[in-house]
Amino acid sequence: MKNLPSRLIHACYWIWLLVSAIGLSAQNARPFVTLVEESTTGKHVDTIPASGPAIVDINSIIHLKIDIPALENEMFRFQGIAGSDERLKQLNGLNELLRNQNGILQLINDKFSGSSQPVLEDYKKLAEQSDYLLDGLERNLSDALYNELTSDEMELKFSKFGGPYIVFVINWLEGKADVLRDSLVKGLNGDSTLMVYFRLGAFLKNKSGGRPVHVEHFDEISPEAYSEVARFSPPLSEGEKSALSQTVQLNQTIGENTSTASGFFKQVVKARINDLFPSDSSKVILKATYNASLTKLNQQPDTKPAAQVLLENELNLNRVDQFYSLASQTYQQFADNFPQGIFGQNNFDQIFNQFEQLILNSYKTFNGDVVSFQQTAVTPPDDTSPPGLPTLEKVDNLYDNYVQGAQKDISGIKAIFSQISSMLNPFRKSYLANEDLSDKVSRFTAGKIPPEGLLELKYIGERKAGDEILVKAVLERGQDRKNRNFEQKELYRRYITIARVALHVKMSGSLILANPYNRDNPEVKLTTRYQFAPNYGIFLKWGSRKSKFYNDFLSFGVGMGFSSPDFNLDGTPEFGAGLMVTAIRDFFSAGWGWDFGVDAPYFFMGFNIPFAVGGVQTAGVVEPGF
Amino acid sequence: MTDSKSFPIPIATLTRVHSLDVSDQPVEDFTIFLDQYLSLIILSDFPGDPSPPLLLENANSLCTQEGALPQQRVLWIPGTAQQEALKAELVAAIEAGFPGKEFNFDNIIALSLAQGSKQAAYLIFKDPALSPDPSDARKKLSTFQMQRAFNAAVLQMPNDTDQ
Repeated sequence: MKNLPSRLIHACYWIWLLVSAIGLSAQNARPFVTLVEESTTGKHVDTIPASGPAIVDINSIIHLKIDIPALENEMFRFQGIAGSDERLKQLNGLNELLRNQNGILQLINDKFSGSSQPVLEDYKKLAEQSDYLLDGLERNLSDALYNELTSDEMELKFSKFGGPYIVFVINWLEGKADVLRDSLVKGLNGDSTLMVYFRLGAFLKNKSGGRPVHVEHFDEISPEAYSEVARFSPPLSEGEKSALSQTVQLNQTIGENTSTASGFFKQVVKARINDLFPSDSSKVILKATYNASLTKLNQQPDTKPAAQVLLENELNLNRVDQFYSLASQTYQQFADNFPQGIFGQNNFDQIFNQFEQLILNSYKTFNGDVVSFQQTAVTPPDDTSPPGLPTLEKVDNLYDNYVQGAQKDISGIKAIFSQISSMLNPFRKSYLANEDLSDKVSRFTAGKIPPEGLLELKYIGERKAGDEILVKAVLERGQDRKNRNFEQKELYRRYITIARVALHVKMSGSLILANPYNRDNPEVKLTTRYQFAPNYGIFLKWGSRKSKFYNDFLSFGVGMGFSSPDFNLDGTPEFGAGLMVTAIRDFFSAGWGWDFGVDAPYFFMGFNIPFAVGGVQTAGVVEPGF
Repeated sequence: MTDSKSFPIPIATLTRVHSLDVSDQPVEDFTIFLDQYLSLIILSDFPGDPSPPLLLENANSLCTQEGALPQQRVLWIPGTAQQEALKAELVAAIEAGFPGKEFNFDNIIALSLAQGSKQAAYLIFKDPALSPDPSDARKKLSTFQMQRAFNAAVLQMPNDTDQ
């Protein structure tokens, strides 16, 4: 028992050591991808932290810098090469030396090529970067390699090279690294299913779903191809994810742009379309009867008033006819443009709703005219129907049949659409929101990986503050998921929140409590301390790259407020203007203003209003940042 | 500030490789050269090498390549007589650039100096193994080492230098 405290201390000591070791190892682990944000103006360039909040401006450029040495090491380890393999060690060494090669090459290209006019600072920068590499070579190259680099043969080669010596050295090193890579890949014996590829992709995520976005140098996704996917599904819950897994085949079919499933649905839709529109025949009968009746009634003077009813409604019928064709074409287009057409469901429904309304109104007008004709037409002495009325009633019946048939058809079409839509809903979600890298995301083998990717937020299409960008990098063994050797390893996954960080203008309405504190002014008749008044604010706002809490909650603004108080109580609002600050996403505001009607100062506090007051639009309007 | 001066080009094709006039004032000429140029001074006659010597050709290329400072020049001092005449200045430059460093002047084959500087920026040896400093082990005359010598001199250029 005596030893218990001592043992406890020992145990705590070992736990502490273990925790420290884990912490150190985590700190030393270099990320494969480093994200650097560059603002539109280029004034702000900063590395996005590897953990914690990652917030960027909505218009920024994100540089994705790849740690090639670490990545290639990981790729060959994933391939099955042991970390102790001499070739891999040598490759790591060469890659480390070549780490800054792109910086050097870019510097030469940018500052010393063509008509560039470099300054001493540029020469020094190049000398520094070049010497860093040469010093590394002098210190670390094996005797054999160093002697080769400085051999007479290499001196002769350089004399014929014609470019900067540092480029000559970089090329030589690259050649050596390629030889090592080839040697390491040779172990696969040409089995392409075992080849390891690096892939990097990005996805825009928001509460409506998500979509892939273009990363320069890493994929062939064109922004135009995705810009039309504007409506998104809700984010995937765990349950939905589970349901999604059951639709993997369908998902893959669309994701990989094969035609099996979409072909199947196309057939279904087309077959249903062919069976649809039975009202088409009733329309043909109606039109034929309508025209024949019009001709017939027009021939006799006593039935001409009845013909007039048909004549007056002919235009409406023609309109229906035109709209009918348009609606049919829309549906056909949907079938031809499957499955993308599914995303335009709202437009589709709208067209058919309008169509339904149009034929209903046309029929009501016609029916009203027939009833009116029946009531006002002169009844013959034999008490039979007014001349032409039976014909009109017959047309009316056919019209009614047609309208009912059309309504039935429309609900049939909408039902089918809804049915297909709900069947495809999980698939639609996955199409928009899944994080699988499509074939448009390039596959890179070791030695071919671009050192940097660019994600230009301005060119990723529709986005808004609060959306997130997911950057994901993986290693894949083989190209075909169906192959038994296929394996995927996620190397990097980072969410970046888009925010309106740069200074921007916002306008919004609020309801204020204004207090004209100088009551000595005889014009101020207000007896209460505060008066409600609508206020319209135009203010500057800015976001934070550090605090999500600030962006999502505090979000201050400073600007001018224009209000219309009525301090003299004459029933006519005066004009007031002043300075204001806003907080909590502009829900609260406060400030000081001057009532120009009664020449009185006032201070105010207010809150954002979810409804219109005195013509003030409350919906915030965000102007582009400047 | 000394007046500018033209220096002979001993090998017509190597436009950035100069030599000093065999005159009665080599030290003065040497000072003018250092004031005018960022210099790599090569103290070798390249015995047995073809003409022009390959390394001299490459040294010339290092002065004309993209990224080379326009003031970069090679001062080739092959003759023993001239080397002897400039020895005091060269030793002083090495001592100023590498205070406390043990070196044998006869083992030095090249050194670089920033424009207008009296301090050597980089040393290259005839036989690096003879240098007591282990970090000199690979500093034998080669394009690799000449590039490093130029880099060191560029980095020592004062920021107010006219280009």
